[in-house]
Amino acid sequence: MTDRRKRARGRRARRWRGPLLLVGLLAAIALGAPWIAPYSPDVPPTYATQLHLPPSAAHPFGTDSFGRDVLSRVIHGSRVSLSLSVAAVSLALLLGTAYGALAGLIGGTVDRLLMRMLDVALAMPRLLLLLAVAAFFPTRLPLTAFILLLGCTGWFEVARLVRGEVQALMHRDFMLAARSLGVPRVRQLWRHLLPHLFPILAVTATLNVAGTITLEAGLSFLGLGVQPPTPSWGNIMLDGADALFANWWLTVFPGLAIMLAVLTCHALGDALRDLFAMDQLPA
Amino acid sequence: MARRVLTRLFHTVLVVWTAASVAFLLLHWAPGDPISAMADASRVPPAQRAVWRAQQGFDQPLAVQYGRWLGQVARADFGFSTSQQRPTRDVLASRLPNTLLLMGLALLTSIAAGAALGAWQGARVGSVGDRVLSSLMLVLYAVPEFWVALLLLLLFTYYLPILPATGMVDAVFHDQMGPWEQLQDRAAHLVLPWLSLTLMGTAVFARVQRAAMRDQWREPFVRTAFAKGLTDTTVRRQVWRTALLPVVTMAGLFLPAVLTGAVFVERIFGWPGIGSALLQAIALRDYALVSACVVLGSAMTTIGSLFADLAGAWLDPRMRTT
Amino acid sequence: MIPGSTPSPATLSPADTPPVLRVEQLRVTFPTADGDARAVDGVSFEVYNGETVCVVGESGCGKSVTALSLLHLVPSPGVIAADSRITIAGQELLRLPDRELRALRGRVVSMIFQEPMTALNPVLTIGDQVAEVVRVHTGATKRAAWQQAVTMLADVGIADAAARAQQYPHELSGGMRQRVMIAMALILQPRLVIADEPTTALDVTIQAQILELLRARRDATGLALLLITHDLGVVAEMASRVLVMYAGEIVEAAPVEALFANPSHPYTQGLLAAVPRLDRLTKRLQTVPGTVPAATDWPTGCRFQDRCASVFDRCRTEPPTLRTIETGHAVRCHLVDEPHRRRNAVTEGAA
Repeated sequence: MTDRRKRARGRRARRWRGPLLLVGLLAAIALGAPWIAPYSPDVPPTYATQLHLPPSAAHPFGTDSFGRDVLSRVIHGSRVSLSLSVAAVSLALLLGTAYGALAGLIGGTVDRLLMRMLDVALAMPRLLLLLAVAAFFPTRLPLTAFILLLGCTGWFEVARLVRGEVQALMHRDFMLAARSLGVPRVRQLWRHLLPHLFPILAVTATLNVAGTITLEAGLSFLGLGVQPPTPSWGNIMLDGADALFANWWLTVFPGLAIMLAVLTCHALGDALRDLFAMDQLPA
Repeated sequence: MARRVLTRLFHTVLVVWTAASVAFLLLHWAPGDPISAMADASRVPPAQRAVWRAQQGFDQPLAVQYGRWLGQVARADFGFSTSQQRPTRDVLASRLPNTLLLMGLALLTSIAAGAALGAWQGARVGSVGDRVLSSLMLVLYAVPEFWVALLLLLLFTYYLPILPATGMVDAVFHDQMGPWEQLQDRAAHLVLPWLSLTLMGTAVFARVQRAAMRDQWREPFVRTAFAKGLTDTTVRRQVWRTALLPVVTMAGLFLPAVLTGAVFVERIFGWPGIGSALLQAIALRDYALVSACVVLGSAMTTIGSLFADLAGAWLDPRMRTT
Repeated sequence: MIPGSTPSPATLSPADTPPVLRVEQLRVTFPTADGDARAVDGVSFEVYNGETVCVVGESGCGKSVTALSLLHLVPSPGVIAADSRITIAGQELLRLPDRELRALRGRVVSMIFQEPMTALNPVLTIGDQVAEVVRVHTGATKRAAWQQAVTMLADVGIADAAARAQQYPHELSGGMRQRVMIAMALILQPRLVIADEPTTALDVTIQAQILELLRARRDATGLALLLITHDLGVVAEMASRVLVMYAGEIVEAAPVEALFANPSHPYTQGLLAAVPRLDRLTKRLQTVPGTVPAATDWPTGCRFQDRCASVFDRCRTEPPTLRTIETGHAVRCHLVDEPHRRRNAVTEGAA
């Protein structure tokens, strides 16, 4: 390999250090929550006098309206928020890829019909859909239902992206060759198309996780997402909203956590984009 | 061109129809009868409930109810709002303008500020100024909108009490103010909600504009322009014109996000718009209003993106023949 | 007098009028991650009124960068060396302040670019783009400029010019777009026109038309034309003089007849031999083996050494200089001193 290429590779590798470090850190916090958190997130430490304490040495992020340590709740909240978002996005990717690849592969009128329907689905604001569903259920949604809901409303954009990619790929020579050799369509999809879809899916995944984290936090903040006592960054902020001015720590710290998580996802997405050398992806 | 408009109009109708249908489905599939969700339902004798059902047509076959529902939607009549205790039409009529004011203003300023910043950045990609702004925009983009709203609330109404915290106008004194003071009062109440929405929007548009500008600077026609002897400023302006299209496209795509933001912002600042009405309706199980807001919200965003599409065609001659 | 720069007898201007263009020791460097790339390394030549000078060479030899330098449009991070001099119509281009530089562009010296598809602004009408040149350099009103533009568009062979002028570039074919570029470049009757591969992106038939158009305008106005190309057919058609570039340097300069009759530099010989001929049967097409060395790493000695059939030891240590071998014909090659070392790289198949 020429010197030039080796150096370019080295530069690219170094750009990865930051994002990977952040991702590792977040994952470590989320996974290691039970051991890292100084207190249990559910059971208040001791007395009622510990309600609404501002940050101190004992409670770096203060306490909430039940006297629970906010730092521990934020740490445990990372588990909830992150795993929830990853699960929802995985579902969305699955559904979206299936729909988009189907449309792209079959082509013709079916494709046009599917895309028309998708256009309509895309036109509806996602939050409205989520709020509508949340409204019509008498009790609050259990966690699994929430994840399913997020996943089922999040796949539209993925489908559009995938279908576009598949369409483009179908015209490439290697696909024409596969078709002319009589390769059955399923195998075309599996062996030929999916590997090419991987880069775009990976980058979309990071962006979607970022978006889902924010969306989940927002819904929890409105009281319609993750229900207390399960800690989520959003519902910690909801707790603080009642007496916002008095308990700034309940608003500031979870928000910082969200910001950190979202920035990490974006950094990872950028690094992936660099790795796969794509500059035409939507930002 | 006319064909394009017609297709988009048809698309709008489809979207509104879908939103209405979704609302209908949810209404009828959700556990419990809409009637039984009404306040005091348990105290209402079953006989009375049956009468109401018949009145509302809930004893008819589903298809018939669906037809009636679509008819109502077409007339923009979603029924009686139990959370607001008046017809939904009145609620929408009084609240929609407030939301439109907030969203419209925020969108316009986001586009203006974002396009200005992005164009500035795009013409000097890689410079210090560009890098600083890019980081700033990234942070603004990553930050949750409702958090920004909360922080602004904390900052400017509590720690630095210069702006009012809630509402559109001063609840107590507004009517007694002179016209100039009334204007100031309205403006003061508008600042924080508007700012919360604009910050995020600016980041989005700045990013899009920057990328578009950077790409257009690399195009060969820029070299031709310089070879003709045009000044730097003239060329910059010409490049910017070709880089506007992605921004307009983005404006159309960004509407749902503005609406989403508006819901949160209205709640946090007590802004009397359809977003806060929707949240109240959800809490009080006012299905009529919820349906109304869902359909209306979808219609708004679709019509908005139609306008964005048309604006794009006007701006870029290449779009006119497609 | 710069070697190889004698205007050929076929041109109109007497030998003692000053050249429209004089380039002296042009050096353009691009800093890259692997060191400085000397894309143009000491190029000197002159162009006189009425001449058509063709610059030939393969991709990467520096001909496009040379052309851009003549308008001071080298894209950053490229840098023109401080001791390079470019004189156009008596003015020293590289020392001019911005305002005078802009006054020159489009009016005294103009350029026709390679890719008509993308070289025009997509959101402005072609009439506006041509009229703009007039408006910027003269004080003409919008209407007057538009009129001139329409007239010019008609002159370059666009039918129904008044209607076409209101169209956008994407509504025109490639050949028409190139005509628009030519109109833009010629409307103010510049003294020097630089055409960078103006026909490469076009069909052969359109190519012929565009060349004919250029030739007609040249004959009508006496402008000097610097035509960059890699196509020897174009050279044969259009040139009065030819400059052959290789690896950032001029390796041979000659009047066109002399170049085709008596190519001296092995590279020129290779180029000429590589053109497939219909009147002779050959078993294989001739090529010049090897590739151009990287611009960051010019070899010591002659830059053509690794591809030359006649290479000998002096070539590897001492870079040859440009030397005149007959009137107006200069070569950069050690074979000038040692012609017995010349080995024929051109092997024909069955003749």
